[in-house]
Amino acid sequence: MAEPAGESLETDAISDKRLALAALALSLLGLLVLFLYAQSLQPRQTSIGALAGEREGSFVEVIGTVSSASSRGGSVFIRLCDFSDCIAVFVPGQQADDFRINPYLLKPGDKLVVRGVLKEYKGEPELVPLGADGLELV
Amino acid sequence: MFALLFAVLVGILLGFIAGLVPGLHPNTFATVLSGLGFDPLLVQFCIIALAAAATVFESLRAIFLFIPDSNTVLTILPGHRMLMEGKGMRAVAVCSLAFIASTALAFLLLPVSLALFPALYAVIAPITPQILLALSIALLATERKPGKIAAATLCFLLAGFLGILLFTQPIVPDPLFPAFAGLFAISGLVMGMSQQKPLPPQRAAGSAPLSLLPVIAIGTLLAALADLLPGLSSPAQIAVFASIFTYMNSERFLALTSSIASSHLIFALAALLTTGKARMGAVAIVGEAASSISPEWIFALAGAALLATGIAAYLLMPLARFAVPFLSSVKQNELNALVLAYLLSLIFLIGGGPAGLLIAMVAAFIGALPPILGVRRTHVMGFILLPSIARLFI
Repeated sequence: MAEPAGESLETDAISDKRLALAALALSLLGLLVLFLYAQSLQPRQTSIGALAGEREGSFVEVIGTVSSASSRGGSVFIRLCDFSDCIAVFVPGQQADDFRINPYLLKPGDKLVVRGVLKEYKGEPELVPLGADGLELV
Repeated sequence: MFALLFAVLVGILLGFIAGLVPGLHPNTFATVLSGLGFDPLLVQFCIIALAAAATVFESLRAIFLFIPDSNTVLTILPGHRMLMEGKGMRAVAVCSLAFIASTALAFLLLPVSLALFPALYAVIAPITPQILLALSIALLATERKPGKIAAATLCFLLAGFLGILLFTQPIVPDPLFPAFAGLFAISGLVMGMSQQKPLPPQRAAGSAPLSLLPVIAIGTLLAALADLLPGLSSPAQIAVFASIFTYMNSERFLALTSSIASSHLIFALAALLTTGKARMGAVAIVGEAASSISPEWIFALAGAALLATGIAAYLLMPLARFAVPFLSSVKQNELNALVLAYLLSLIFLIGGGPAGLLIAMVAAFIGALPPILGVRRTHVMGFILLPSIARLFI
């Protein structure tokens, strides 16, 4: 009777090993797919004035000059302007550490590239930077 | 005064909805409330009560339905384990006590935290990467055997790479929901379906678990660290580290995670005043809406959080008594399948569409590894630990 039990345990172990290998392989494959997908995402370069024609949720890139920057409650509020218009850029406090630059140190006159998602807050459009390169000084 | 009390009660009601219905995040309610044009002070009280109550009610969802969020992500592990041992009511009683006792203690410690936070923050902030790295190594070492440590490290790194990818690449705006759902809920639900265990009869909660008060006190003190260590984005991380240093069974771990989750709100208010950083969405929203942030304002909001936590925690046991017969009458496999379908729909609708589903799927494969390899599932918290360590070192 002991042998079948032993066999069964052995079978379970092999099954677990196969299961572990399958989960590991699928995890690695999934990470690779996600990485490649991320590389394929490119923001649409546009001017601030043209953002009015973009739909909410669009991934866009704009370049402009900081006209004002302040922090409140840990979040950073930036007013970004170019030749065509101005837009609010909102950096939530919980994401302020995610960027390569420190958003708390931005000041009027800084030339800034913002790559992010176009959202609407209280009826007004705003940009929420996304990813480590969401904010870049030029 | 009555208007403020009414605002707190409305906040508790909204917290009940946000806490129990997956996908309705308290921050969503808070954002909508702040834009409705009501008296700003009433809205601030309402939002804080909402956040406090939602944290309490989320524990029911985590224990009975296996659906986590960033606060309760680690509650589902011991909570669901206790449920499957017939101790679901005991798990709820432990959470209730931890919520009430830790929030009361955090309120009492508020003057001390207001006085000490600036100095502590100045000392701790520069050495946060080293602290996180040392604690992560210690966490992996708790597996003791070399083979298990290697397996735990593999899970930690895989989850960590997923975190780095999601936090540095613009794949979805908020990757936490699909990732946590995959790492903890989806993998657990699918593996639970394959085991086909029925929900056992649930025993009474028994006497109040007062022996857990020391653990709750430790959890409350540690919650303050969630706001002082700038690399930490979730109180759950603190709970993982705390488990390294003290003996943990399901009840103790549940008490620890619950006490950290609820007292974190009060310490977050203190941190907003003293360090200018809002580490919680609700605190950030009230901070932005406030005309001035003063110690009096912080105390008043902390009082609202204490009241809301107390009322919500008092309601937990009756709600659990109502839920248990219903859950016992449903086949676990069918319930798991239903929850899984709901979670996947939510991820598709609010978690980033197809990209969110892809994230959840990859996270679920990684989340399945620890139980298969025989190590603790908490190692997949590398998802937020490794990006924190990497970000602070680079």
